[in-house]
Amino acid sequence: MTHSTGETTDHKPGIEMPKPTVWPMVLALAITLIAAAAALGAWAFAVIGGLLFVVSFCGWMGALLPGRGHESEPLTHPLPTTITGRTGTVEHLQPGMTGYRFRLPEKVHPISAGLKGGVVGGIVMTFPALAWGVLSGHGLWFPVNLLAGLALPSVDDLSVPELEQFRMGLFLIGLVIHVVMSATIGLIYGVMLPTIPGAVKWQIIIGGIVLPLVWTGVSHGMMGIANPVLQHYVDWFWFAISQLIFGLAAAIVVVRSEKIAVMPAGSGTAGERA
Amino acid sequence: MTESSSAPTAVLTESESGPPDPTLGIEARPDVHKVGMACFLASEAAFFSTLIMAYVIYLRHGSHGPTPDQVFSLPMVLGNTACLIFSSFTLHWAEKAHHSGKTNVFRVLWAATIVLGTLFLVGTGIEWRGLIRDHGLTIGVNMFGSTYYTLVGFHAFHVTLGVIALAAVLWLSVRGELRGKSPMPVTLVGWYWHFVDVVWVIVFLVVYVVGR
Amino acid sequence: MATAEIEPAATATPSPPPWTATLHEWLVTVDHKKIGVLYVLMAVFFLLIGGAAALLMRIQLWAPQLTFLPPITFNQFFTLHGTTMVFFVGMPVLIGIANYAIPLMIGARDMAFPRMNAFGFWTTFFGAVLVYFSFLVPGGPPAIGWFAYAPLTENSFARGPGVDCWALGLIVSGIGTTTGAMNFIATILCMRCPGMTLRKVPFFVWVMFWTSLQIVVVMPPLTAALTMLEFDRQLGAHFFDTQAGGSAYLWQHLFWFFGHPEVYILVLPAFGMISEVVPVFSRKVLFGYEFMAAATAAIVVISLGVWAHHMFSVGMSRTLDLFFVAATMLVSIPTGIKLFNWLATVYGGKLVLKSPMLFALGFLSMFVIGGLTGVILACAPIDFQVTDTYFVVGHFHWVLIGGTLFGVFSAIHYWYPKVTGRMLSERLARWQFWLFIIGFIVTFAPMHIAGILGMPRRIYTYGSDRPWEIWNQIATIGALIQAPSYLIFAYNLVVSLWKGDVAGDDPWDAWTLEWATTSPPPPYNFAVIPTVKSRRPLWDLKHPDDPDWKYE
Repeated sequence: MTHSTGETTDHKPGIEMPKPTVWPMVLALAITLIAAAAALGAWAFAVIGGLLFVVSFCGWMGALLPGRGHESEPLTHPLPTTITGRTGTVEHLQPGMTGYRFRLPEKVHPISAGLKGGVVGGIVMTFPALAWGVLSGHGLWFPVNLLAGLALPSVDDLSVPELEQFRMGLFLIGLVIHVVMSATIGLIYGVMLPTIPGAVKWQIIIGGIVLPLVWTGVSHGMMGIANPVLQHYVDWFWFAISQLIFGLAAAIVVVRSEKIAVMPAGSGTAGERA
Repeated sequence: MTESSSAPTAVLTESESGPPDPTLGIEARPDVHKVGMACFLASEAAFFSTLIMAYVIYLRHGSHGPTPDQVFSLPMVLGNTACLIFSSFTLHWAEKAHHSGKTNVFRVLWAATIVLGTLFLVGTGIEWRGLIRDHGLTIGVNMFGSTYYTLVGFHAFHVTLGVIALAAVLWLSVRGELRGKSPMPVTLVGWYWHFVDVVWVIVFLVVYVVGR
Repeated sequence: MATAEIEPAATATPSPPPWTATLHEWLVTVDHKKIGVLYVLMAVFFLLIGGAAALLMRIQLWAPQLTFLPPITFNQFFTLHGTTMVFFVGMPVLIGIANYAIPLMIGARDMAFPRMNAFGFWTTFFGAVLVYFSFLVPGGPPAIGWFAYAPLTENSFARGPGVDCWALGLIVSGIGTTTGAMNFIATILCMRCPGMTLRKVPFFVWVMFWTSLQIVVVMPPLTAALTMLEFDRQLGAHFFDTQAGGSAYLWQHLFWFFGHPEVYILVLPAFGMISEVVPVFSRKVLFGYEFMAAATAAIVVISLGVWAHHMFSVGMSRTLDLFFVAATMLVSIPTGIKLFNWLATVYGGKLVLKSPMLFALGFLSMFVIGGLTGVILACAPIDFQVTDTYFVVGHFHWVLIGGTLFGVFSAIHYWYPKVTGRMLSERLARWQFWLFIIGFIVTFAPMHIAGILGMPRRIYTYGSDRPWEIWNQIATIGALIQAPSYLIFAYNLVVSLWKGDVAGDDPWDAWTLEWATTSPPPPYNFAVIPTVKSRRPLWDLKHPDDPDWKYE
């Protein structure tokens, strides 16, 4: 593109380009004739197509041999106009301009903060859940077996004594569900909580109390569809307690983590001045 | 282009990329022919996957006519398979000979590959004659016939093309056209032949081992 | 800026060469630019043919129990209309535009395999000729629908050679498409100019790379399926012959394993074109290039696993239904990412409302509606109700016209000055745009309602006791509004060759390499191969005080 005219080709007569050739077109025609012969049962087409195929294929391959398929294209065409610079026409994003970051936080928690919150919340919420299992007389394994019912429809068919025993499959499934959900909600907290305006206490109130209450309510309405067996046996008081403990723990871990500054998206160019 | 003082970049032809300018730290470009061949083999793999899948789906479908366990004679097929697998080795050795400049060794090994490929085709022909004559298995008899002849037939068709391509390279070599610094036909035809062999190994396992 | 350009060498040419010489030149060409033009001309030609068939079908559906078209002709027309629009309009026009633009955009002198490029065009074209040859055979063209469900295609139901012409024509043109895709992959991987790493290619180039990968993976299974069909018909095999143990269900899987990715093959290049036009006419850089790039790859990968959402009503297992519902919903996420990135590119920009941008905005507004009806159809229970009704017809026309065709018109209006050295008439383009968008909405919106009211697709007429007449009449009026827009477009393409304003090298003040050479470019594209440092090399040249490579 630096066509500083004249520097181009004083030592070259032209540019080597592939030579026009009829063989690709004839080869395509040959293949089509053979196909037409098959479609119509007209074998004369196949004979002509076959002959053309051999001829054009050999012709094509001949053009691939060194020095046969190229020609020199003379550099006689006009050169493009040189592109000139227009300095001072780039507009940069400034605070207050459309498109400059004006809502998102300038500092965010690292991704690890959300994960940590999820892990801590996930660990502490098991205590009320297990406490409920023991206090209600169903035993330690009852809650995790119920949780596994979210993924395994077969859990619906188990009797209560069966649900009270340790079952490796259900335990692993329940554990995976618990870890994934805790980590996911923790990550969401990591992203979402800093966007809540006001003092830090509002982040804890919303993340620790309001949101757990919201999803407990949603669960209360939906659980019959998502996990009927849990709906059948669950004690909603203890359910809400464990959700609240999760929320508080996760929110506190997230808001206590150190924030890092992000590169403002507004750096760089906004566009051109009109 | 911002540094207009730099010398004009060399002319690009269709087969070579421009010499990388060391000041820019440009990554090397892969060879077009190899990329083209890799794409072609990928599409061939997709094609054969479809045929193999159809074979597997229709395995043991249909109630009448010969079945795989009645008609296949393993010694024949094993001989065929050995030919084709061994031809991959001769081809590999031929390529090595070509790289080290031993032209005559290259031609002998390359010709051996052609012979082995042809033996495979002859073997397939004999096998099919037996299937049709002795067992009455034709493409229209049952689902097994339809899928078997389509799959194995398309593979044999590709072997045929491979033998022709191998022969063309041998012809070029005898005429002395391969002497320059362009081993590309050797490499590309080699890739194709190895691919056809790998397809045969899969076809063999699916049709003659698992599918029996 | 460069519009104040002197008249190019056109005036200097002596007497024009005889037409036979010109014809010969185009028949033997291996120049990617000429081949690109051939592809686009082929597509425009078949667009008019396929459009005429659609118009005749709309007239037949104007009122109950019309006898304008006989039933068999109607069936043949919708088969050819679908086949033509997908294989001989959609793919050729996208491949053709890419063929023209990509070597220029990456600073190369031609495609990686120029002769194979010519071969690709001619197989596509002769394949189309073979399909249309079925008009001359006993029994006429196939009457099987564009997805040719078995066992309708078997000998017992389709006796004439029409189906054979169709299947073999598609195999032949499929060879052309596949070689074209391989050529793109090799070109984009190997022919980029110095400095243009894979992370710095113009976005259209990136999209065509992924689309080509998709073509290479999904076209061969279609070829294999069509081959099996021909073996059934010609050699007596039984792949899809349900009376002899064959399976109609397998055909559906094989066809849609090609057929659904095909939809993305048709729409992804349009995404790429829009991603070139929108930034230039918003005077801003494309928002979120990396996210757009990743979303493209995600669409290509996910769309390989969604095909059976065309088959919910077949009665697959519940597990398969659930899998394909979820996978289909998943595709809408990367697609949504793209849409928001385009909006963010437009947002705050200084919009230049020239014809390419008009069509691009048409795309942004219409495609999202087609996408949303797609999400509706992805829900298996809704699909059970409306599948094979006019709701589906409305949906996919909204995607393929609202998406692909708007994108293609935008791209043609954008690159026409580069190809010909002349500008298209803005006035005609505006007439085309408004007739097109109004006609399009009036045609296809009522189809959704007719579909919800239960009108099956592909019926050649309907009873007067059905509540469909009014919706069909609105749709037909819409088709009559649309029709002139295509004629205006074709007229504009031709007449602007002589009457259009001289374009100059860079009429849009754009930023990618194709605008750094002359219009039309010389056969070798660039006298000196350029070297680039950023995604917008011309921006860097035009704004030396603030080049892009500082930020990338």
